[in-house]
Amino acid sequence: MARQGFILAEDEALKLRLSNLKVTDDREVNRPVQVFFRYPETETERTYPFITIEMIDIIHARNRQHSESELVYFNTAGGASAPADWQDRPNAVTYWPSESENFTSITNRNNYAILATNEYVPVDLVYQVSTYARSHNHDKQLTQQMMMKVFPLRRGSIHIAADNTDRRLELLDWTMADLLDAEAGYRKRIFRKIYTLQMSAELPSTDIYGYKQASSVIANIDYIDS
Amino acid sequence: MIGSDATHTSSGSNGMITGSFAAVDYVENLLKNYDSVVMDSLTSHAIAEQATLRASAMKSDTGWREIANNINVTYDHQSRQISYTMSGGEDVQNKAMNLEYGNGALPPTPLLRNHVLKGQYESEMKINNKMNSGFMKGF
Repeated sequence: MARQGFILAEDEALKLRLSNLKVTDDREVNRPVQVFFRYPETETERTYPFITIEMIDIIHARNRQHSESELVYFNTAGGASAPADWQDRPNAVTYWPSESENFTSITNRNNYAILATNEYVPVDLVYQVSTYARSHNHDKQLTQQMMMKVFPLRRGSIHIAADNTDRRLELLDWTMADLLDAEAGYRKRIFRKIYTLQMSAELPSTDIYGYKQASSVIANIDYIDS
Repeated sequence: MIGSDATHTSSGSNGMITGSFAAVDYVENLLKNYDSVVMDSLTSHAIAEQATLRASAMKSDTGWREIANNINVTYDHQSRQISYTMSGGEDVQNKAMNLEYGNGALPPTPLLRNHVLKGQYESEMKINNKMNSGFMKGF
């Protein structure tokens, strides 16, 4: 099951995107590339090449912020009679960001015919992904895979399993930042490339609240004689 | 045509009413001033950005403070680009790289990237306002 929760779901999706990368050399045809969150501590065994993921900022994406409005979810499982194609309406909501694709995480969901919430707050998560390689050949292979397949320029998107949404994932910057290896007495170079990425995300601005549909409409008004 | 007994009016060489179309004047003004308005707007924005960045680096306790005055923000009119760079020798460059991107022992403290990304919406608005007032001067 996918990890749920703001940042956790996004972190997992990004790690998944970077997992299963391999490089080739004359010793090993499919050398796996490890992925870590943050730079691994010295007690963690790491083998080159490897990749680190660091979240470096959360920014309110004001250019995507809409006016406050109420979003609604017609819970047909809870007995709602939903209008046709209600999911296509601008005020429809079908997922709870980073948590659920259909509000099943709400335990008493079926007590309510309609679930409602306020407009989500758009944010951008900024990540730094770094590749570390001891061999120039591995470095080039990794760069090629990153630019061609993992974070292609202008075609970036990522699937978040927790809420079943597809988000934007933009490669903002790519830079070379080689290091001298402290473990090798600063005599060997570590080839390092740094990718700055921006992923769109949303934060709920209120809790979910439930509405019950009216069970009957009394059309006649009876006057009570005093 | 007071006092005239002519059966038709004469507009003379200047016409009865003269003027030009405001839209045409505005476009002419744009053509004339486009370069200087763009350059002035972006140059002054770069100067303000540099001051803001240096001030926030001075407040930082991560090491940026020591190289705050080496942060430069410049606008190049040829390429229409704003650049965030570090002046100074190799020591300063290495320190800035280590702070911005981390180096294994040190986690990244991305002052420059965060400043640009956080402020891009506001920057757009400010530049937009400056350009609007520049292009609308006299209209």
